[in-house]
Amino acid sequence: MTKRRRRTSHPKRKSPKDPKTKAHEFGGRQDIISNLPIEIIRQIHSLLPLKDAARISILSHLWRNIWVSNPNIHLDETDFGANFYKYSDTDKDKRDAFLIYLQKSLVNRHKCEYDCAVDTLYLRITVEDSIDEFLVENWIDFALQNKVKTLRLILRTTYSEWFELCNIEFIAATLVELKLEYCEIIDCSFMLPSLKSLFLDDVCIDDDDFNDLIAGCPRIEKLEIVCPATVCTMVLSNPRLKFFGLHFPCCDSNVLIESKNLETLEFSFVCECMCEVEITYPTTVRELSLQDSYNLESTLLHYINKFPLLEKLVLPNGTCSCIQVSHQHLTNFVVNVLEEVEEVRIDAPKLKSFEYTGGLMLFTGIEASRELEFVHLHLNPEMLNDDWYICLRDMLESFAHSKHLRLICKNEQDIIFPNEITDILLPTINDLENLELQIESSTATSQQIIDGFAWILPRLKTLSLTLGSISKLIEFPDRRREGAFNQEEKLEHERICGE
Amino acid sequence: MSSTKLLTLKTSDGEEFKLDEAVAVKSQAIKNMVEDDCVSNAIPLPNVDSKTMTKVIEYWKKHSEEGVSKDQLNDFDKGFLEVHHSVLYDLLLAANYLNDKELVDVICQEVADRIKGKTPEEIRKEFDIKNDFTPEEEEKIRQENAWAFD
Repeated sequence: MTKRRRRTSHPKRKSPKDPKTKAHEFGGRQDIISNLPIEIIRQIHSLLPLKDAARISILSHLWRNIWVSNPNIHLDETDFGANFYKYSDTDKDKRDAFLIYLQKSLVNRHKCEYDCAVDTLYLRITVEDSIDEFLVENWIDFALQNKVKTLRLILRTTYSEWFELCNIEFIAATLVELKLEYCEIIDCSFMLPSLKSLFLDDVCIDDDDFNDLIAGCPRIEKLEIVCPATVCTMVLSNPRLKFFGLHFPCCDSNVLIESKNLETLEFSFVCECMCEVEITYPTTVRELSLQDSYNLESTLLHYINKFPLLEKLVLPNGTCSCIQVSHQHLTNFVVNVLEEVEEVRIDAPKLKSFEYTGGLMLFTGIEASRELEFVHLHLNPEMLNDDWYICLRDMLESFAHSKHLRLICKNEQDIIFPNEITDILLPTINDLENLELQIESSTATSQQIIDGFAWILPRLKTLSLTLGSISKLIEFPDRRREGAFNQEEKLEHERICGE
Repeated sequence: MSSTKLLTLKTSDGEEFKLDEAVAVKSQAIKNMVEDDCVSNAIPLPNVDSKTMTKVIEYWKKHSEEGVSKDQLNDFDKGFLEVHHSVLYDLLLAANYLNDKELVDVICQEVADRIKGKTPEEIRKEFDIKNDFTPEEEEKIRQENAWAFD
């Protein structure tokens, strides 16, 4: 609530008689935007791209103070033209300029008369001289001492494999989110009682430091580790840990999760041997996501049977031709673009929601999931040929029993059966009564789409058609007769209801 | 549809506006008063004048209408915000006072859009912002943030 601080917090402004102001230039008109409450000026400021935000620090003392005390600090060498991901010493002068900027900004912050609490510090830099490490550490200290909530450090050097964060005290009662990339953590101390989310990407940390880190964040809820270097054994027992993600671990790692409230697991395993992950309380796990698995079939089998109360399964690209999912409690299943997979066999009697993104796919066994309510099929057919339309027809039939079936495609061509196919006597789908169609962009009219599509669904009662951002609900009269339906009657009915 | 209750809002210049409660509660401040049950008489709004209140109500009504597509609302917003910055200022203060976060967000975005891509001189001219720096101070800041002035 900002009411209590409306005008009283406005900083002292120079009087009009002061020779520094140029009132005559503006004919004495009121500079009222600068009179807005500070919180609103900050909000406007936060909506500006970085360069604009920095530029307006030149408008007046007020605007400069707003910039200098901006609680969201974004320090990125790429804003100065240096390429972080492809080092080249031709960027040296850009990096030098960035260093000077880092230096001056820190000095300005220390001098600033406004409240200097930091919400976010984002720092991305490639350090070329070890003496500049101090500047980085000073920034980290500044943030930690000024109530930082989110800290993201992406640090590299030209003279060592990792940026060494050595003997740093990560002590902050306010820190909620910490993300570290490419650093090496050596003998640091951690006291982060409010930390909820921790993300380590390509971070070098040994078992002892890792244990200290984990012990230092007792309230952690989300832990995500990508390409961990050197940490071999992880034991996690933080009681509030709900989400654990492990991507591309090295072969000989062991993970033991003793947390009693673990809900979501995400894994990417690309080596031939899997890293061992043991979960002491598997009954709390509700969601499993396997991304980029080398051997999807066996990984899937290995994990799906571990979690008896699993509800949601997310699968990625795979390299096997058939995926089998068999689970008694699974209620949500999400499948994304399975290259090389030709068939998905589903035995999940309690399945309520199913989401698929991809092209040609054969789904077997799904008819037995009678509780199916929401089915979203995001269609990306690689080729529009007979195979596609036959597959589309089969897909629709497999999911006809669901309460809400939605097809989402880029273009109406994906779903309008071309005339040649109708001659091949493609059997109609008689069970489908309600359908939702969502088409991103279309050159056809709704009528053309309905004509090209609805003939295969003789029992269709309602069709919700969304073209772009406009939705229409079309109801069809009861047509229990075989053969072509009455065009006129149908058009009349549409005009009356739903259009 | 639930029964529509009418609320009376009284602006700083004494004008009264009658409005459906369902629409008026877009203002969190008014909503709180409704929930605390202190709306039997006219709700006084001493920090909003009638000219600004009329515009605010115009916005609330359009955004409460049924059957308006997203595109139509965007067109309305664009026209609604095509005003002099002094009007935006009054609207912003009113929306802030009435605690209508959606309206505050929309107007802040408009002000930000008017600032984006402009040179400081252009911004000063448009918003009548007075420069209280000496030429030396200004040059120092320009140098410090040279990367932003390219």
